[in-house]
Amino acid sequence: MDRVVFGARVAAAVLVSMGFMLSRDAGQLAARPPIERAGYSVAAVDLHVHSFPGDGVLPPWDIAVEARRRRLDAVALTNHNSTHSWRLAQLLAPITGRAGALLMPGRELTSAGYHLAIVGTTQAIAWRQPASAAAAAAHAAGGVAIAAHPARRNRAAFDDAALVALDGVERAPTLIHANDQLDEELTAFYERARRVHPSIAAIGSTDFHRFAPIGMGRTYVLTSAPGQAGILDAIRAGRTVACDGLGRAYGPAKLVVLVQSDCRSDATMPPDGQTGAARVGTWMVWIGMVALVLLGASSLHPR
Amino acid sequence: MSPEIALMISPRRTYAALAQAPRSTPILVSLRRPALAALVLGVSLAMAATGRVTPALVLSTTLCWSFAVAIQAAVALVLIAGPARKTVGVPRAFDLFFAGHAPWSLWLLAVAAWAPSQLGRPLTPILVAAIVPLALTVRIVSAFFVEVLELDRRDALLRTGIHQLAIWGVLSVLFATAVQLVPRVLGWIA
Repeated sequence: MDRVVFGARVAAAVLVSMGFMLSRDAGQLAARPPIERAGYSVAAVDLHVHSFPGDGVLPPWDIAVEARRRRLDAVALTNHNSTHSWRLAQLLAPITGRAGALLMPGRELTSAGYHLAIVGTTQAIAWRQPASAAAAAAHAAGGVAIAAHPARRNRAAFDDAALVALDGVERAPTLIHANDQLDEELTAFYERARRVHPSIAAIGSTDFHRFAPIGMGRTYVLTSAPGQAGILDAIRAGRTVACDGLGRAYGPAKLVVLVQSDCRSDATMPPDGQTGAARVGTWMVWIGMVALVLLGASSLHPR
Repeated sequence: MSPEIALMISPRRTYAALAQAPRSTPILVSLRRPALAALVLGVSLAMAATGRVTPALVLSTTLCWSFAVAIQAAVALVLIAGPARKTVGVPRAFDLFFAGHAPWSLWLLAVAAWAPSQLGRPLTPILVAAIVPLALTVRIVSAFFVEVLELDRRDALLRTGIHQLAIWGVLSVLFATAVQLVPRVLGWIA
């Protein structure tokens, strides 16, 4: 019996190993071919992603690779009132490499009554202040301020002064797919924001923590300069289109038309580099791990 | 039947049998179960977050999240080292303690397979199902203290309570810090 169990453990370990061999990356994924529309370069970005260490499960270097698989050019790391994760990524870059999408520094300013995704700066910003003052502080630090999932309960915090100060509004965070009421509230908030601040940027984002795929909500940013600087400038100018997980686009009509087809295809296509063999390999690893847990590491009645 | 399965079915009888088996456990061997638990965590998180596992991704997630297993190990050592010296020895007690990891490990793998998503399956069934490993682990840990460390029932219950409080307490503090609970609470009160 011991030999049978030992043999089963070896088989499970072999299954896990073969699964890893099938699922490994064939090579580095190439960057997306540049998309040019109306004289702008279009960057696909996710401006609200939580990472490890923080309340996200993936470390930044894995987020960068996963973002590239999901056809994103950049992601903003936005842990709650913290930029430690981005700093750790920079510190460990000589070891982990810089493969994948651009990692932009940021934080989700978590205050009493509102959240702001502040992108493009590592400077500390106090949370004990009104949203308008926090947005001004973000600007002084070189970043942009985006209202994060602004539901009805946040209405008091986002007064007209705050809406004028903000650079963007999350119109399509992935939370809307699980909550119809939130979708209505965000629609109302975005419309109100546009009445007060017509050029405010429409933002789509994932608010990734652990389950919803990175880039499930995304923003198409029409940039006129490369990299982080170009992305931030475009947000400040309102040259963005929010895209949700179902491929619906939100924003100024003239801009939506330019990227609607990209939005639909990015929402429906599987991640780049995903093969049938990789899927089989993943499940082989899973089955092998279940078997290793159940088979245990020793016998119940050792000789 | 493996100890891991037997412990989920009949923890006291299983630990009684394991404690009686004459066997010493080298220190390195006693790390095999925590290592497997860490690998389960790494595989589960990688699969839940990306839908795939690759060697590089799992190595990364396992190393990053191994601190959670290290916390478990540290708390376990504090609670079992003293009594273990008088019974089966610390390395063997440590090894047997971690034989009870199966309920939570299987739950993590189930989460990875269920893959909740805003566009797909809801999270609630998985959260409700967590009651099972929670209850099983309390039973298993309590049985460990009685049968392996030969503590009386009162002392066993006390140590079980301290163990669970310590683990969930540390994880709660880390979580509260990561999500910035203080401003949220102030917002709810307001």
